[in-house]
Order: sequence, then C-alpha cells, then structure tokens
Amino acid sequence: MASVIVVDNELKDSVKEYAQIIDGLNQNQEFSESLTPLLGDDEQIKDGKLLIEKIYEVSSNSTLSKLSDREFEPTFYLLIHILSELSGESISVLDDENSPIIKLLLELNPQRQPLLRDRKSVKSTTILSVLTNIFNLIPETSTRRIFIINQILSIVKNANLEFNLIEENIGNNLINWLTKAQASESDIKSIFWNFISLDSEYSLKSLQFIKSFTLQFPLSIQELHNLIKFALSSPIVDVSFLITNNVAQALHANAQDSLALIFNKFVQGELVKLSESIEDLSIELINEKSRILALAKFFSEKSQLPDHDSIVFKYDEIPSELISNVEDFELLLVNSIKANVIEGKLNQLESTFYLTRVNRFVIAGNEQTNTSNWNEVRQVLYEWKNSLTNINEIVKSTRENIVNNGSA
Amino acid sequence: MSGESSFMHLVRPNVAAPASSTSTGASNIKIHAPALFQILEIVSKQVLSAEKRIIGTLVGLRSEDGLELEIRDAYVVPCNETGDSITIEDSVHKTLFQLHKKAHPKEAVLGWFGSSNQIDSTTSLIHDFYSKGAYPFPAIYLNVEYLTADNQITVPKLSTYVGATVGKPGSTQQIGWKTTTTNNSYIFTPIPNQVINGSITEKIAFKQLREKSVNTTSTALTSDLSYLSNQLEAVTTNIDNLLRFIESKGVEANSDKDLDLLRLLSNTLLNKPQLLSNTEELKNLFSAHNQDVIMIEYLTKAVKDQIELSARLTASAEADKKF
Amino acid sequence: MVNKQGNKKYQAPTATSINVESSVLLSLIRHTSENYPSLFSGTLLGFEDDEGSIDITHVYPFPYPDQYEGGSFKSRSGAKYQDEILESLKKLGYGVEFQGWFQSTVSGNFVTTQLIEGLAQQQLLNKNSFIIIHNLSSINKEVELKALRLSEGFIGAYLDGKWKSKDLESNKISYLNIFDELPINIHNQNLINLYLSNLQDSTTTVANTNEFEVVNLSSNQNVTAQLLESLYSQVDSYNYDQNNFNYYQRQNQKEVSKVTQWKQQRKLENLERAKRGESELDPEEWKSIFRFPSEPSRYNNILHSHAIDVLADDILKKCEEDLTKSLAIERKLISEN
Repeated sequence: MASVIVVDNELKDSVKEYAQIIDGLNQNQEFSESLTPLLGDDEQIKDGKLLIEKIYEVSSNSTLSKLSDREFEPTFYLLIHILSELSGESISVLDDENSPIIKLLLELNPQRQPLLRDRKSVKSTTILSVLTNIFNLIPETSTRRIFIINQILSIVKNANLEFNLIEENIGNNLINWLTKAQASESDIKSIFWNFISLDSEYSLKSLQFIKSFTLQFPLSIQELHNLIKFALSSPIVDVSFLITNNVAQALHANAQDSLALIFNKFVQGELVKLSESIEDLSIELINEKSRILALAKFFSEKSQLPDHDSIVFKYDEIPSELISNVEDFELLLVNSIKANVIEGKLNQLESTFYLTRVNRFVIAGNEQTNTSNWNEVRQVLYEWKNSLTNINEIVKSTRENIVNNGSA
Repeated sequence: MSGESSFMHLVRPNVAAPASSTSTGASNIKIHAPALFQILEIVSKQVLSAEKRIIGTLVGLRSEDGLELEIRDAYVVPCNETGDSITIEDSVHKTLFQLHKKAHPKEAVLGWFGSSNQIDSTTSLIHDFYSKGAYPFPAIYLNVEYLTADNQITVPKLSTYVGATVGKPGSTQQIGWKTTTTNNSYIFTPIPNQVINGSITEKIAFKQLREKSVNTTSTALTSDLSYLSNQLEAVTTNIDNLLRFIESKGVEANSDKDLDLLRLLSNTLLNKPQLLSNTEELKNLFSAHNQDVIMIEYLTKAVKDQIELSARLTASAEADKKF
Repeated sequence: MVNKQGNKKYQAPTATSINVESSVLLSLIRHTSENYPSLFSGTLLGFEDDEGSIDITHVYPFPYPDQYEGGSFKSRSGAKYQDEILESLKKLGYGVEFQGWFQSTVSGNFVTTQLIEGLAQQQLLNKNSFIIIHNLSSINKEVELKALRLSEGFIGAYLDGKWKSKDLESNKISYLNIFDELPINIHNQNLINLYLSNLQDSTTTVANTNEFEVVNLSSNQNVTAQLLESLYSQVDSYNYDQNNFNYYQRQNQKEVSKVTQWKQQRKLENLERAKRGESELDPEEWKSIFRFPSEPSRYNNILHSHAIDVLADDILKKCEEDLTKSLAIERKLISEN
C-alpha cells in the first residue's frame, strides 16, 4: 500500500489552479500572467523545464508560509503532483538526494510552535502529515526513506510533539523499513536509539521496542548505557525481560563498567542503596524500585525453602534493610502489588503477609535459577495434568458418593 | 495493536470536511468480522464480470474525535461505468441506509468499499460521491484486492485509505447531499486497519468457522461430549505439548524465546491462593460446594422426571376414560 | 385458543435443512450477544433452493428489543419494519424473500404463546417458515443456535384448536415434540474460506475480552441461579395450570361415581321390574341426566412442560461443568500440599 495522488484535471489546468493559489497569496495576477505564453492554447505544455523553474521560483518559503494550516496540505500535494508530472517520472521529484521540494517543505516547518489562539498558521503536525505521504509515495527500497525518517524524528524532537503520536507506527516498523531501504547496520542502530530517546515517559512499549531490538542486534557499550539509563528511568519496575542473551553478553563483557554493575544488581534483586550515585539518574526512583525487586527476591527465595511456609510471611522475618518501620513496609508491599511484581494479602492485625504470587526474574545468563524455575514450572504442569486426567470419571464417582452418602 | 505495515501513518491528513476535527493523531479503522464477510461475499461477484465494478457502502461508528472508525456493516450499491463517468444508484444507497439506520440508530455512513487493483480517476469520482454521503465527516475507502493481473484469485488483501484533498481549497462547498461543484482530486493516504470481533460469542463462532467444523446443530446433553470437556481436552493437549517441549530441552532452555516462555509460565503458573495455608478448611469448602451442586442436579432431575410422569399419567388417565 | 385459520389449508413442510451464509451467522450472533441481556429478534431473508434447503443470505434485526420472546413477530412496529424491508428489497430487485425469524433467549424461556402463535400463523402462510433460537445461557462460552419449526402434529392440533388429551393423542404430540429441529449448515463463500485459511493466529483480537471463558475455573453460580429462577417461575405457571386440570379431574371423578351409582341403581331397578314383568327402563338414560365437565385445554401445559424440560437440561449442563471445574481445582490444590 502506498499513497496515491489522483487528479481529475488536465495538467495544464492544475498548473493554472496552482498559479491562482500563488497569486491569491501575493494578491496580484503576476504569476498567472507570466504563465500564459508557456501554457499556450493547445494541449501540450511547451517548455516543461522552464515551467518547473518558474514554479520553484514562486514557491518560496515566504509565499507559501502565508497559507493557512487548512490550505497548506492540499496546495502542497498539488505542487507535488504538478512537479512529478512535469518531470516525467512520477516520483523522481521526491526520490532524489537533493529534492528541492522536500527542502522547501522542511523550511516551511514552523520554527516556533504557533500560539494556542493561532488557528491559522501551519502546524508541525501538518508538515509531518505531508512527510508521511511523501514517505509512502517513495518505493520501499529507496534509501530516500531513511532521510525522511530522520527528518520526521527531528521535527518531532524540535516541535516537542507528543511521542505517542509516532510511538506505535514507527516503533513497530522502524527496523523493517530501514532494512528494506538498505540502511547500514550502524545507521539502523543510531536511528533506533534516536527514536527511543524521544520517549520522555520511558514507557513499557518503548522498553519492548528496545527488547526486540536487542533480539536482533548485539550491543556496544554506548548502546548498553542507553538501555540501562532508559530502563532505570522507566516507571516499569521489573525490567528483567530486557535481559536477552545479547544484553547479558554485553553486561558480561563490560562487567567492570560502573553503570553495568549497578544495573546487574538492580535486575537481580539486590538492593541499590540511596548512597550510591548513578551519573545523572534519580537515585531515589531507582532505590524505590530496587526495594520492590529486593522484596520480591526475598519472597521468592524464602517460599521455595523446604523449611519455610510458602504462603505465610511474618513482618518480623523481613530483612531489616527493607523494613525500617511498619508503615513504611506496608507501603512497600502495596507498591509492589501495584507494580504487579507480587500478589497477596496483608493482614495488619497479625502483621502477616499472605503471598499468592511473586515475579521470578528470568534473566539470560542466570542458568542456575532458570533451571530451578523450569523445574518448578514443570512440576506445576504435571499437577495440572494429573488433576485433569480422568476428570469425567472423578465427577461421576464423586456424584455417586455424595448421593449415596446423602441418602444413607 | 497494529502489526507491521509497509506504510507510515502518524497523523491523519487534512481532509476537506467541515467536521473533520482539529485533533491531530493517527487514524485507525476497525473492521468487524461480519462486515468483512459481507464485503467479501459481495465483491466475490466481481469475478463473474471482471469488467463491471462492484462497490458498496460502509456503515458503522465514529469516535468523538473522528479518528477511530468501526466498520460494522456493509451493503452493495449498483453502479454503471460508461467511459470516464460513473453513475451510482443513489436511491438504493439511501433506501438501504435508512433501513439499517432504523435498527441501528447510532450508525452512520463511513465511506465505501470496492475491489480494484489500482486507484484511478474513477476511484476519486466514487470517493467524491461518498464524501458527500459521509458529510460532514471525511469518507474512507476500503479496497479488497483478490485478483491478480491475469484474473487469478488470490488471498484477499485489505487496504484502507482516507482521501486528502489536492489543490485549491474552497472548491468543495457542499451542502448536504445536493451539490453541483465537485472535487475529484485526492491523495489517497493508507491508514491502518484491523479485523475485530464485536463480542466474545461472535469470536467463538468466528474461530469455529476458521476450524471449518461449525457445529451449530444443537448438541444433545451428553456428559461425555460437552463443550467444556472438549475445551478441557484442548487444555490437556496444551499442557502435554508444553511438557514435551520442556522435557525435550531438558531444563537447559536458554534461548531468548525459551526465556520469554519461562518468564510467562513462572509469573502466571506459580501462584498459591491464601486458602492453601489451611488445607482442611479448603477441603471442607470444596466438599460443601460440590454437595450444593449435586443437590441442585438432583432436584432439577426430579422436576424433569415429574413433568414427564405427569404427562404420561394424564395421557393414560384420559385415554382410559370410560365415559 | 380460537382458531382463525379454519379455512386455510395447511401444507406439510418440505425443507430439510437451513443454509446460513457465514456473514449472516456472525451478524446475528453479534447483534444478540452485544445486546444481551436485552432480547432481540429479527427477520431472516433468502430463498429456497431446489435441493430442499433454505438459504439465508440477509438478516435484519428488529429496531426494538423484545419484552418477551416472540414479542416483535406480531407487534405493529415489527410487522411494519419487516414489510418495509421486504418492499424496499423487492423494489431494488433483490431476489430474496422472507424465510423466517431469529430470536435470542435464555434457555427454555423462548416457549411463549406469542412466539408459538406467530410461528404457527407464519407456517400456515408459508409451509417452510422456521425460527432460529439463539440460547444465550452460555453467552461468551458457547454458541448455541438451533433452527426450529412447529411439528406437523402440533400444527394439526393447532388447527383443531381444542387441545384436549385425545387431540394430542390423535396428532401424536406431547410436550417433547412441539418442535422439529432442522440442521443448520454454515456456508462460507470461497473467498471467505480463502481469507480464513490464510489468517494468522494473532490477526483477530478483541480488546479486553477472551473466548476461553468456558475454561475459566471460577464457578459461575450467577447463570445457574438465573436459570433456576426461570425454572421456578415456569414451574409456578405449570402448577397454576395443573391446578385447573386437577380440579377438572376431581369434578370428572365425582360425575363418574355418580353415574356408576345411578347405573347400579337402574340395574337393580330393572331387575326388580323384570321380576314384576314390567318393561325395562332405559339403561342409557344417564346420558341425558348427567353432564361431564369438559377437559380444559392442555395447550399451556405442554408449552410450560417444554420450557421446563429445556431449562432443566441447561441447568444440568451447568452443574456438570461446575462440578468438573470444582473437582479439577480441588485435585490440583490438594496435590500441592
């Protein structure tokens, strides 16, 4: 699927239409009049090259910026249509390293956001819309698409547009598009991280984009840093899913790196203390999340011990670093439940927590814990299997038992 | 939500419709499965006469900001192509819409569908017709492509577009349906779509259609072959497959995919309800529950038998009547 | 039950199955399940094919929900809408005709006099009319559709209009065979088959819902409770009707014993008279002396009985499911400890 322009007029009429628009903006008749000799009376346009030049000449930044936001897109598409038709091959006018029309479009992107009450001036989103259509007009394999993507990202950045405008569509397709457009691996990587850096919310979706990126590409130390900083700044607490084999390898290779060290501790459920410093990241946020993970790790380990009850936990057995006072600890429990890391019920009267479920940190490279998790999962699956075997007969015999006992 | 696509869609382009809202953002189209099936049933007739264009109307719901559209129904509208022009049977379109509207008062005309391998000037003529129909909202265009260049049938491909105006604005001054000025120039911008089911029950039917084993003839009440048993069997098979997978890998499964599976399983399966801390009570609760259910069963059966007995008794009493 | 169709000739149905286009099936199911617990009905359009099937190609739900099953079939607004559809489609040159209705319901509640009356009249007009019943008692878990029409025996009794036991007997009907069920075949256009067979698993999704509700292991007392309530109310109505019948039977019994007594007496009297050489008094004279109560109609009885039977089956099914789930979980949980 691509964008398609369909114009029901003769090319000459389109040119005239465009001329009228330009003259309307300049409030004179100059351009229309100057075209008369070129258009002539018969069907053919005489000097296409000259016409193109003339059109470029009048389509200046200062003239077109007079267009209102509503008028802008239709006019620009008309311009694209005319130039494509005049230059013969329909998309060559766009699919060119130095396409003047794209340059023009980028120049028209407002440098400052229009005021709220200003409903007329061209908005950045309108430029974005035209750019996406240009993107869709260019063939998938054209390297020109890479350029357009870069332009779009920079518009989003400079105009401070909301990330969720581009998150879904670009995030899901970026690598695919770039690969098809024959971008080099280093280009793909730098554009990807450029894209991710636009997300000031550090959303779960972006984390998942990063994850699927790491499934495909190994990480340099710089990229590892990008990933760590993004993950640590995110409101998502349990980011263990990010540790794919590629990430585990990068962490291993940079074991001495201070950021990697802290991140490793963090995802393994070791407490990252407030006293530690991590570049420009908020240690308070990290510590808060780290406490949840450390608690989860504690629950998960204890509940698997043969000499410990797997459900009931007394407050007084919680490690002191996690429980400074009761209110504080209960708040931590509630936060952990909110973060969907643990599930359970707290009984304030008895100072007891009933654990129903706790996240296990499944991390590439942690072979020992993964093995024991596999074993546990296998065990539970067998239990379910057994409970379902011959269930129909069980139902029958239970019914008979109850009926017989009831009547006896 | 939306999967991979070859095109980019970030903001809906400026469309020449007065009520196209000022909110900017991506547009998204949900196609209800029943509507899709209607469309496929209709366009498949195109094979009969490849020369004749088959089009129809899309009806459904529009979100308040106009960006989310739900295609809920569709019907065919006859049209005639002669050379460069096309006549669409407006009266048919309107009559059928009025009928639909009575039973679905909230639904509106969203646009149109067709089955064509390319977008051409006729496409914009039809689009123009429907832009008036969807007035004052922008119309959408859904294309089902299922014929190859040499008229071979292939898997239907669905594309949805919104038509943004090209050229001088202001030439589209339309009031309601009646208008003389037309604007036939559009840039058709692809927008994402997804096929959805409107309700779970419908989804179940849809899945059964997929498995091509629709059994809508009612199944008698046999405790051996109830739907639940079937499903439980499916669950058991799934468990078996999982176990076989785990056993075959040993517990050394460490590829990224394996780890994702492990994470999913261990974070969902390894849970223990609080009740388990008191097994005796748990057993009692279950036993009480089971007894209740069996009591209901018992009484219900008694009612059923009573009805039958009464019918028999009455019949024989009346048949034995001497006088 | 007054029979207004006395002079109309009833023809036995010839169609043996119903073919439904898959788009119609999905539209119908979406409409009924989306609007649950409101009940809805509508018109099914299509044509009869040469092989004894009815092909359903269009479905139009009635604009308003039904107060009770069958409510729209004879209401003015329903009839008006249906006429409008048929007229419009005819004008547009669609070769489709009215074939039947659909009706959403919960379990056996669909057996209302309105629905039966509507269907009977329709079957007298058009021998192959039918109704598709969508039972929503397993909504979100199963699709329970059945195509029904009134059995020939039932229509026979309907035309007799008296509904006495001997009428049921002579038409060979009981509450169990009010309806004949027709198999429903779903017809997929080739293009739809092609589309379906190329779908990837992830293609269709409904946000925030899931179709595995049936294996959701928490029990669902709500539905069972609702079904039980319907059962009570049907049993109440049944009993009300049965009381009348019992009264009749008692009255009848009284008369019978009076007659027997009278006969006995007359016999003795005649014996006496024979001894005295007098002529015998008419032993059949009781017929003009005694009047037997007339048997009340069994119509409501068989309708309620049928509803109760269907409800009971559905309740038993729910119990079975509930018990299965309960035992599966019990075994799983107990095995852990």
